[in-house]
Amino acid sequence: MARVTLESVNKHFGTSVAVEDFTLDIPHGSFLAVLGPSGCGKSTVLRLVAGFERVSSGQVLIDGNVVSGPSLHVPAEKRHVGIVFQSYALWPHMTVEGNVGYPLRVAKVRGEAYRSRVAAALDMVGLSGFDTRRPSELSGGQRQRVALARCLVMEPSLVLLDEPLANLDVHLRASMEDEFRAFHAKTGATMIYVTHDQAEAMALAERIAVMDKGRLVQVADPHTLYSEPATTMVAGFIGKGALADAEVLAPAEDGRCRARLFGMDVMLRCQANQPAGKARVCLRPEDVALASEGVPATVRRATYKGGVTEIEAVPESAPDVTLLLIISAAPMVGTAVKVRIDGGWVIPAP
Amino acid sequence: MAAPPATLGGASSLTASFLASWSSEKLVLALVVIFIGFLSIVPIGRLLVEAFFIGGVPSLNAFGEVFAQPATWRALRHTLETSIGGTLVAVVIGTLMALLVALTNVRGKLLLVFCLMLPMMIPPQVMALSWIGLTEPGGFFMRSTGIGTLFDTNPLYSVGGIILVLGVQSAPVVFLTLRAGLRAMPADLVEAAQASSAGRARVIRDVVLPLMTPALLSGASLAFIAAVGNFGIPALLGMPVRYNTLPVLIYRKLSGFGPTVLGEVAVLSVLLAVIAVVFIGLQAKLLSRRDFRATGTSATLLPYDLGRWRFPAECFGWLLIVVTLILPLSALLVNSLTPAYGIELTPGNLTLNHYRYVLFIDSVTRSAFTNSFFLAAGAATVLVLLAIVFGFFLVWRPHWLLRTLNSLADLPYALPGTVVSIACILVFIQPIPFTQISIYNTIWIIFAAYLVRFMTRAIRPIVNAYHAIDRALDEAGAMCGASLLERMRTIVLPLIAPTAFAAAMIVFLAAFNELTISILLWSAGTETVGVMVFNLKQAGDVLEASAMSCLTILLTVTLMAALSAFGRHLPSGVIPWRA
Repeated sequence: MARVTLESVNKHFGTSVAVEDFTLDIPHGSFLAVLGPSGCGKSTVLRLVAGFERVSSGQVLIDGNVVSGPSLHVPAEKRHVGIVFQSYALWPHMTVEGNVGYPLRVAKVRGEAYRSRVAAALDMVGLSGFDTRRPSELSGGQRQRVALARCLVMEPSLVLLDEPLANLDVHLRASMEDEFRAFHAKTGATMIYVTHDQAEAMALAERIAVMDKGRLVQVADPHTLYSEPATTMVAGFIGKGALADAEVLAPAEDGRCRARLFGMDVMLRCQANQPAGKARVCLRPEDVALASEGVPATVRRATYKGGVTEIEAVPESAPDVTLLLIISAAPMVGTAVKVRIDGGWVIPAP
Repeated sequence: MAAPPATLGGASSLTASFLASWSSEKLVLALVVIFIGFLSIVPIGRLLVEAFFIGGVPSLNAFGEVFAQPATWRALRHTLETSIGGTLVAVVIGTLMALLVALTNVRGKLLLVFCLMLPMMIPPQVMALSWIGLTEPGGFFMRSTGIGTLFDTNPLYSVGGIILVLGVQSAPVVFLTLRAGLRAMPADLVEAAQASSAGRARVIRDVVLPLMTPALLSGASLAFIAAVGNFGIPALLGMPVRYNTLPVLIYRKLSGFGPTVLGEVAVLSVLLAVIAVVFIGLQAKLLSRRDFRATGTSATLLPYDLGRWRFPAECFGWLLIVVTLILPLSALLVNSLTPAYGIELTPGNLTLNHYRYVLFIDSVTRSAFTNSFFLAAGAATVLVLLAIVFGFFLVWRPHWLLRTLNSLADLPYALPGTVVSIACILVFIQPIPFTQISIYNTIWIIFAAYLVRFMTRAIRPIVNAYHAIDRALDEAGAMCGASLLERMRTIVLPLIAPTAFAAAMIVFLAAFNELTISILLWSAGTETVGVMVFNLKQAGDVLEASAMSCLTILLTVTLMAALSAFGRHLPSGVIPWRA
């Protein structure tokens, strides 16, 4: 197992800043997803941990040893870190066996030990008997499994995954997600999984680190991230829902506060130290419902989702806000409705 | 099942191993950088110092002295008139053939293109010798057709002759750049013109050719620069009538007076370089005046159906090939098989004696073949190995120093070959620093000049190949714990090998057929094949020269054909005649 620590890491390429003041501790054996829109610097964080890039300042530690610092850089080949690449990075001039066995050949593992370890790795990803195939003869899913087997054979204590599902068909993704979960369970390795797909991150990771414009915005388990986003960026990026302006009327008590929203007095969830004053509120579909009393609104769109209908309702008092509701029997588009506010999360002031 | 993290042991062992690996990587890089830096900067720099400094003080006196001689002005005028004339001929032939091949449905394009490309790979001195054989009034062709009686002397020994042969030699370059441009032209631009009910001729005149201006200009400037630096053609065709271009003047001065005129020829070669640089600048300026950027989907243009004009068009294309290539080469072959000069070749007196003589009997020609083979194979090997390491760092470990070197490496190939030769003489006439060894007057000075000259021909395709390889393939190797050298051997080399092999062949061909550089650097015993063909011709041994030329053509065509067959495995742009 390995523990990865990033301390005030900065990385810039020329004048452009890729990663800024990034501090994060990833404990032994945990499964962390790094999530963010494209260009947010998440892949750079991965490459810094892998040793492909040098830090501009700050340091990266693996198991308490500095591997990247201002004056020290352990190259990737000395880090013993498994990596699964977005492009699979299989060598076209080698067979499946040649690809999977490469780390062993580099480590001078020969003979029976070599054969049995390659066979075991291929067996684990369900590709026994594929030894002599070329990567070009395999499907995308099979290629990713070969890449995973190559990683597996190294028996690494830390595995980095760089958008490993980005090039796969949707129907293949679920089975590969299972594969990664099984990999984690079997090896107990610490895993860092970079993705821009929040559903993927939610499904796989114990903790998610959300990045935006090179900075770490929030690190939390998926449930907290969804229900208590730290910023409007996280609220908008994770899950569905609406953002609205509210006036907190009194400071927080027991994690709740009284606030004025769409001209009504409501109770909202908030941080323990939430002061009174203006604030932004994140309203998930679970926080709102149609009722006989509530905020007057107009149904603007209804989308049937199979079993339930997702409707968009625009409050009369805030025409720039689109509330999202999930209900079983939808009213007609254009109908006037009343929306009851059952909850909502006050986003902490930056 | 997680293994103990053996390689992540103590911090001290990490530091030690890091130092070991990083320093070997840096050492390799430093060596390559110094070597390429030396080849691309030192000779040209030394030449500039020689021309612009006298006794360490900046001075233009050397230029004053050289320009005081009428011969300089004459050679300058001759260089410009033959180069401009040759470029015009090349543009006409190249454009017609490019339009024919790229825009119409003529048959047998593959063979047509191969024949069109041949003059580019055949060395100029061989081309000139072939044409001389064709137009010699007493020769086989002129006599058997009766045209020979119209001339007292060979009509090719003239300005017109030089222009014609230069044009034929440079036409492939124009053809190639224009065809590449036509292939990249968005089809919808043509279709839009057709939709505006423009006929074929109008579409070509109003849309195709204007859009092709950049391709045409760059093709023309490549042809012009090649013509300015050409030695073989103006030397063989101009010297008999005392018509000297700058490269020929430099050769005559240096072979007549030796190193005492080095200062003078340095100035002349700077003048030659200036012509090339001015022309490149002029082309860039012309192109910047208008917007040639084509937008739209770049679907391949459907060829025009020529209908009943197809056969005449094919005839025209092949007639051009026959006149500019097949007839001259046949004349060369006929000469090489004729028993003695002035005797008419008949099936009965056909002989291989000249081949036997140059290959087995004469020790000088024999050693010329060995010399050229050694020089070409050596330059190809060294440069390709250098390029493989350089490309690795340039593309995957970008650094401003590498990028600068990458641009500088083009310089010795962009400038005329004569310039490189003079620069190398200036650098190597003194002993190598800290040693008593001088490579001047040995075969090694030719080798050094070839390294300088052909460096970019190895670097360019290999760098492009690196750009086409996913960097993650190397990173995956690093992840597996493989050191740089191990990755080079097991991952990078197998991936880059096809391109490296082709690049080596191209450098080999170019070096084996080379004359412009070796003619200024050879000494007794270090003759190259090019020098030998030239010297035999000058000594009047035309038949032996022809036999040697035929052998080089045979080698060239064989290697070209082999590369073309191999070409399917290569990224586009590696093989020049397939561009």
